[in-house]
Amino acid sequence: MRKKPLARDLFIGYFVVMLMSILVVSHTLGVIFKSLYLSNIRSDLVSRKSLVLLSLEEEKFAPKDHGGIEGYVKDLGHASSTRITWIDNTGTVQADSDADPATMENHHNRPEVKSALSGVPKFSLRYSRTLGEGMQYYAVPVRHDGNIIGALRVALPVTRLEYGPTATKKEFLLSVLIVALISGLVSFLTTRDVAGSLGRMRKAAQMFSSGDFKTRSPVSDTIEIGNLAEALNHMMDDLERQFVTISHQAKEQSAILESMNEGVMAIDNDDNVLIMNRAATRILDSDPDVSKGITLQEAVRNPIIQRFVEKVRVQSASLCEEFLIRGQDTRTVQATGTILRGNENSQLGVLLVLNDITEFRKLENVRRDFVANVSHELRTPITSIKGYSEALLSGDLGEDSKTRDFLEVIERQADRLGAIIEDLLSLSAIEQGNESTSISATSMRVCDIVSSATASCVEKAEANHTKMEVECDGDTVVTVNPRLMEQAVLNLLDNAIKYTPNGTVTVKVERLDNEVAIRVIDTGCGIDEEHLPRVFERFYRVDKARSRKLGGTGLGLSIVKHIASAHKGRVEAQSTPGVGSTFSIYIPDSVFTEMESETDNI
Amino acid sequence: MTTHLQREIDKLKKKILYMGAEAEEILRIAVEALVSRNVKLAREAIESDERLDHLEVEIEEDCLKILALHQPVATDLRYVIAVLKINNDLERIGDLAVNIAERVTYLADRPSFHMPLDLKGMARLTQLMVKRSLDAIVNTDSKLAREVRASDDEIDDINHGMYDVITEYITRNPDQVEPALHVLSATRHLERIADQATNIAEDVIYLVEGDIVRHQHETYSTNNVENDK
Repeated sequence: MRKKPLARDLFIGYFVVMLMSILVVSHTLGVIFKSLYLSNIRSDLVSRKSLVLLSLEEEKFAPKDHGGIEGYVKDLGHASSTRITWIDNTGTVQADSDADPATMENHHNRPEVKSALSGVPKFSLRYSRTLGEGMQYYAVPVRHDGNIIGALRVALPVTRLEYGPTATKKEFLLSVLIVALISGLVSFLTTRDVAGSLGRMRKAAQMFSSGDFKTRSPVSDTIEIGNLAEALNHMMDDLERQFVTISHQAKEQSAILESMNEGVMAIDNDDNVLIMNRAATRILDSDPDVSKGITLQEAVRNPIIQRFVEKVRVQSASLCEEFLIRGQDTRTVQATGTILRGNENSQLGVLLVLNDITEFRKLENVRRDFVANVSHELRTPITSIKGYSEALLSGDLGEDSKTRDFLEVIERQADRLGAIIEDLLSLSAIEQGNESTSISATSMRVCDIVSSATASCVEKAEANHTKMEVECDGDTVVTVNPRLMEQAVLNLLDNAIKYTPNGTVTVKVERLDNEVAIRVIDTGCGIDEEHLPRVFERFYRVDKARSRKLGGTGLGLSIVKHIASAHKGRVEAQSTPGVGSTFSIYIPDSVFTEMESETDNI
Repeated sequence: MTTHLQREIDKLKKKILYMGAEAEEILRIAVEALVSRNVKLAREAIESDERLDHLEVEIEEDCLKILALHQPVATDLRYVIAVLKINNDLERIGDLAVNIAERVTYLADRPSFHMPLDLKGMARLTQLMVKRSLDAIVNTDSKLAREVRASDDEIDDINHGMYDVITEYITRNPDQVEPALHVLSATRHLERIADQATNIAEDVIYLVEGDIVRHQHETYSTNNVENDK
């Protein structure tokens, strides 16, 4: 819609109203004046007729006395400024005050004359062709001895007022012009104030919206406009307050975000970057100008992160993954992606939290290397201690049984220390293998693994009077590293036999939905529930004294757990004290393809 | 209609940028594998290239779809054409990076072979060129693109220098001919990658200015760079 100035609307209104009222008033007045004027003239004519008639009768005018009457009529007419016509009963004009009767046509047809000749006086208002102007006529019959001998007609000119618009056109136009001028002036004057204050309010609003929050609109003294201005100012106050609050909050939030050590990025559904804090730019090695509104692809030139965001979006779930970000230097980054939810749970975008764990990983590696190195370094002296104590024991010690006892203690403890070191070494090796996900795997029948593990335990079981049973259907195949898996089963068996003297140990292989379970079930003393969650921890012992007596290193179950997780599997322990325990290894199907593996680095 | 086209072009832009990032990453992995003779990384690069190949086909189809359905004109048309060409160049970069990675599998078996030349420096320079040509795409910066174009000479010079170094090395160590040749071919691949980066830069100039600067005399482009400055 096109906008119009207020003055124009007012002007048109004023103009129409004024014009209409002038027209109505002038028309009414015209009608009134006209009737007044006419009745005036008519009464005038009646009295003049009486006078003329009187004087004519005094003269005793005779029908044949032309010249005398004519002159008399002329004089009379001039004297009274009245047109007087004397018409005989045939309609012929005998005398006229303003014209030569000879040139005048028969007046029998004139309405007033016709009526007068038939005996009735009559007024008639019409245009005189003889004189060329509008006349009010009045004709009366003249009687002589009771007979109508003719008609006397008196007439007065009427003003142009009667005769229509041609006369008043100019005045009409003039009045329209005047009306237009006046209404223009009035509308300008009335709107000047209103438009002025409205304009000032608009200006104030514009300045406010362009960021000058201190602007206020001047308050006009017109009630309505003043109120409006006050309302506007109120609104500006509120807005300013809200804006200050909001910008304060935004500043706080961005300060928090900026000073965070974790990288935070928010990406909407169209891949536009909403937030990217300083830590994120540091971790991702890119420094884009986010304020301009750029896409993720422009901001982060790293396909891994882009794929991760897409994955979170598609799966519509929280994900946590670890990446190597290669830039100036390679960083290990742990990324957590969450869906940003809006109202009604709608998906707004993806929130990415990035954690630079390079240092953490480095330290972890250092620790692991340290354990591995220390174990390795300890191996040599232990071997010597063992070797020399063995040599002494096998030699001649004489009668000194104390020395023999001491040496035996040394040998036993050296054995134990050696076992612990071996376990630590294999633990760190498994950890390393786990880390690089490069353990070599082959498809094997589970039964083969289980039977070779049981075979190595037969002696021990017999010594401990433990019965061993194997339940295996023979066709179950898993893709595992056979050496590691055998060690895991062996560790479980070893434990079970140790704690089940005179009992039964059963190894059971079960095929589940998408994994294979190897269970080692014993009928030993069992483990209290409180210990169950911790039995797979390193050096965790349920019964310290007994465990040491039985010669455990405290690392056996921990190794089992690590072997399982190196195969992307898991372990589980169930137990009822006094009845027995069940330790299970679950191996998922087809985690490893046959060829994925590399050199066995364990 | 127009907004629909705009949406398609935005989508195309995101895809080509993603592809650029992917190509850059493959190159990074391949170079790292080459420098550290890490077979595992090399294999990762070779596997990643498959993704790049898929992406190339996808982007080409998208471009053809836009051309057929929307008949873009002026800037839009130039954009689609430039993307079509850049798409090609990026795919080539991926292939060349794979070639480099394949050299690694050979060189890893020869740990005794001592690298006779500054492969790292050349690789870094090449990577920088690829990075800057991609920067030029992201920011549609024709000035940067011209700079990339000018720096191709440097890589060419280094590559020529490599020939001399390798020739000398071979004459002195005739038993190491094979690994030396492998290294030489890796440098040639790097040089080709730099060429592709130059092509991308030229596509960007075409995209921004509508000016086809390919096959124009080198001095012309260097002059232009100076003029721009």
